[in-house]
Amino acid sequence: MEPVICPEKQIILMGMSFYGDPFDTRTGWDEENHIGRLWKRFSAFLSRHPEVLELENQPDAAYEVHIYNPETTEKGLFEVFVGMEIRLSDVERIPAELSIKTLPLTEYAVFTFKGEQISSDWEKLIQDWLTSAGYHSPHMYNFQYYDARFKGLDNLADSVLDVYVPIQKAG
Amino acid sequence: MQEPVESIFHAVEYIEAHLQTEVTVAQIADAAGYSLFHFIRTFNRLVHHTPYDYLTRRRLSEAAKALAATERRIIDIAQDFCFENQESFSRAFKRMFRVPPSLWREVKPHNADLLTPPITQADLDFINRKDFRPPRVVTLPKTTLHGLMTRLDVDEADLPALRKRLFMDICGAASVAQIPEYVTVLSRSGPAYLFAGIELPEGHAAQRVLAVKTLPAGNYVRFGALAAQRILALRYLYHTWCPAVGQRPAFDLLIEVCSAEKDPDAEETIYLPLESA
Repeated sequence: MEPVICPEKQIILMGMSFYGDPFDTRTGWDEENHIGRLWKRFSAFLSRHPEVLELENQPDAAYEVHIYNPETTEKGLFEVFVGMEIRLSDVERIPAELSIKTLPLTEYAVFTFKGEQISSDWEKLIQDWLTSAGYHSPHMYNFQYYDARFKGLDNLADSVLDVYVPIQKAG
Repeated sequence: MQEPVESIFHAVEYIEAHLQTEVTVAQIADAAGYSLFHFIRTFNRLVHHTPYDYLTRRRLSEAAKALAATERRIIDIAQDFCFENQESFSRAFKRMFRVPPSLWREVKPHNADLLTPPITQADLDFINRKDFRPPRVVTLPKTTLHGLMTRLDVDEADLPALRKRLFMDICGAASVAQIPEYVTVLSRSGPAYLFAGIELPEGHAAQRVLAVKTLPAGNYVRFGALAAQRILALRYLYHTWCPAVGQRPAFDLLIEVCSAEKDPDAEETIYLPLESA
């Protein structure tokens, strides 16, 4: 599995976040997990405020960022941020209900997963690739990039998902 | 790659081996052969606990046993089970058991259902069987039962036989033509007793020989399980479902609706009264 190397770029997102174990079943096992609920909360906000979509820099593309901190490794608690890309010049126009997430200027390895691979343990594959290719990740996050190629969770077989991992040559 | 249930059971064993050793969820994921994110997703799906919640509940349960069985200082027990200090131990302990460690040591509660036991392969198979249906919270009206009761001196494993016997006696005493199901009530507050009874049809006069038992109206968790899986179902309710959804069961009362059929595959329905929030 060879990723595409994406040259350095900075990404600014507007969106919403969750912090905790995203799969905590406190709400019951027949309901969706916290990430699904976060997406729903974000979409519901966008449908109520369609004017916000005008700020999108990448129409019809959405980001799901997983951010690690010391509690992530210790307790399995993640920050998950879902959002859309905006321009730096629009930062001041973001409504109070949304947050801004600035992803630093960095080079990325972009892994493309199709069909069943999307629900597989691709993070493990990515970790293995980083080690074997002599890279490490200089930042504590990665993100999934959803665009028109992703056909929905109920149609994973025909879907494509890109995962971006910040990279830096080791040593 | 191993089957997920097998890998996750390996993770459970790894946790059990590290109750008294510092361990992170990332290390547990690594031992199971998963990335951290995929691990917590899979663990939650198959065990119905978050990995950290399970680790903490197991540590607190073993610490509770040590409190009752030894003279070791509370601060030392807290350190044995990797709590940062006595304050964080006491806070977590009180959250799980509703009493501080000092009071637990004094009272030495004997109800084993209060403690989270290690998840077994049988538990995982039970939770992950294809026809698993999650428990539901239901509100029941006050119910009056007529039946017989007996002091509970036997091991609870012998309960099915005991309640069948009680049921046969009721059939003789109640003069009711057909009884498709009966209700058992196991009470552990004070001297333990088992009551088995039926709801009499309207207009049917109760025989004097039968005792009356009233079940209070309120919220109950309802869970269907095969009679043969009764113990697994109870373990699941007490130690997984209730803590995970933030419900507190009444540990001293257990109600079961049993089929009068002799079919070993007959399903029973367990009702645990829930304490009000």
